[in-house]
Parts: sequence; C-alpha cells; structure tokens
Amino acid sequence: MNHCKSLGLALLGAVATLLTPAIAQGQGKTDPPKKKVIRAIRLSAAGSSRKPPTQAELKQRFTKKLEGAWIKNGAWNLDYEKALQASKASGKQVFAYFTRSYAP
Amino acid sequence: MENGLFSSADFTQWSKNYVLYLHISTRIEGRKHEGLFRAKGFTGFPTLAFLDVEGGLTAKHAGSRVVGEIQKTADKSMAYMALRDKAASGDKVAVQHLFVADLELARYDFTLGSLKLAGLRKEMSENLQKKADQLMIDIQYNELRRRLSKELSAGLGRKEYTRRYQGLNLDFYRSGLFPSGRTALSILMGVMGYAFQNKDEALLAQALEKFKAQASNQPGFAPRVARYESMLARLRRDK
Repeated sequence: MNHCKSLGLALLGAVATLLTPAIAQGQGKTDPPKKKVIRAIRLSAAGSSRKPPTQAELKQRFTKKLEGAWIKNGAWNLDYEKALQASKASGKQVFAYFTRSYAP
Repeated sequence: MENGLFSSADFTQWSKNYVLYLHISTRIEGRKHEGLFRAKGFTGFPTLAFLDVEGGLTAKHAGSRVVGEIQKTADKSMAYMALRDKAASGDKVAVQHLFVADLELARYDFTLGSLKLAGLRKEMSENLQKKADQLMIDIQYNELRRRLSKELSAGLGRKEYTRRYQGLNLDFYRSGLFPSGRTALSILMGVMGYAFQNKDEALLAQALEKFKAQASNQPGFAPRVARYESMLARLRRDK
C-alpha cells in the first residue's frame, strides 16, 4: 500500500517536473517524449526511496505496529527482562517472535 | 502470520504453556534492546525462536509456521536443555554432542569453534566429526559473507563488492568446502556466472555437473539447468 502511494507521488512529481517548463514557456505541450517521462519517474522514485525515515516516522510506525489486534489480544510480553523473569518463575520456555516495524 | 497463526485459537491454546516474548526492531535511537535481534545472531525477519531463562537461544524454528511444526521445534529446545544438563554432569559424549548442537545454533564463531573442535575431535565419533566439520564450513562462510555485507553497508562500491563476493565463492568452490543446503547451490550459481563472464568453459562445465548432482530435488531446477546449459553451449560455439 505504501509502495503504491510512493509510486503515485513519484509519478505526480515526475509529470509535474516535465510539464512545468512547457507551461511556463506558454507552449502548453502535454505529451513529452516517452523516454523523458520514464527517466523522470525513475529519478523521482529513486529519490523518494533513498530518503531514510525520520525518527518521528519510525516512532509512528512502531506505534502503529503495536495497535495490531494480534498483540492486543495475545499474551505477548514486550519487555525482555520481564519475559525472562516470568520464564524463571514459571519454569516455562520463552517462545520469542522477532519482527520489525521500520519496514513492511 | 500475525493475523493468521498468532490470532488463531490453536496458537492461543498452545501458547499457554510458554512465555511469549515479542521483540520489534524499530531503528528508534536509544531504545532498550534494539540490537537484540543481531545479538542473537539472527539474520532474517521474521524469526521464531525458543530461549532459556537466561535468554540463551535453545532452538530456532525453521519449518512451516503452524502450531504442530512449532511444537517440534519446542521439543528440540527441550532436548537441547536436557543435553546441556547431561554435559554439565560430566558426561563426555554429551559434551561432544552439546558442542555440535551449539555449532548448529551458531553459538560459536569460527575462531572459538575451531579451538573447541581441536580439543574435542580425538574423542568424537567419525560421524560427529563430519557433522562438526560441515557446521564449521557453514559458520566460516556465513561470517565471511556477513563481513562483506557490512563492508557494502559501510560504503564499499557495488562493483568491488561483486568482485569480492565472486572471489569468496570461487575460494570455497576450489577448496572443495561446500556449505550445506541452498548456500552450496548459490555458490555454484555464482561460480557458473563467473565462468561465463570470463569465458572459462571448463569451469562452467565442471560447476554445472556439480549443480546437477546437488540440485536435482530443488524446485525450479530444470529451467536453471537449461539456462546454464545454454550458456555453456554459447561458450563452446563462440570458441
């Protein structure tokens, strides 16, 4: 979904970049050469994908991940030390699931 | 998996016998235990694993992500802990088997593993020696691969990375040290690609024979073989 959004934005950016000079010159051309469009899309998309997420964005992604029903409804322990303590106290093994929130 | 397995009644029932721990790598600076995933030696997301009360890895799940298969990994974890207790009581054979189990869990790096193996080898059975030797090859290859990947992340150019990666695969190929599983196949494919680029017909033919012998039961085997056979035919034609 995020990829689709990025691609859509990249497409819009690329088309805008190509059209702006033509409109400014009063030519009103709306059909730039195909190769130019593809190159502009590629550059624009590459630019957007290279930009690393900010700390604020990473925090947002983490918060969103925590909102998952499977976490809320499950008995997951998010604190490492507490999980080990619970294992020691109960004699049960720890079943650990390692995932990430910074990327899909 | 999150909305499937972890949300299922089967899993909820099964998990009552375990302490569930969820680790999320976030890349948020300064977050406690952010580096735990790497510290455990894991490389790919998602990872399912069993840990002991100290947080030590006792089993890593590699099968299907269904309760029945995860239970099999849980049984392996129990067996590992029982072996550890036996070894701690002084059982020499258990010590040797525990060492091999620890190699499987990548609890040793290549240097420490080599040292331990040198001390235990004489007392080990031939089969156990073979198993340990194969695991040491896996550990060595993975270490060198990881080191190269780190260099790529640190700014090594893609071209130089590719050159060194090909060199690494060729070194393992020529020495006859083949990591287990699919890694061996990826080495052979790397060698065949190198041979084709460098018009080394003999190397391509030799690696292709090995590939055919090792990959016959892999999915997608036939089209790959056909591709390399056509590359070999091209080299022979252009000679």
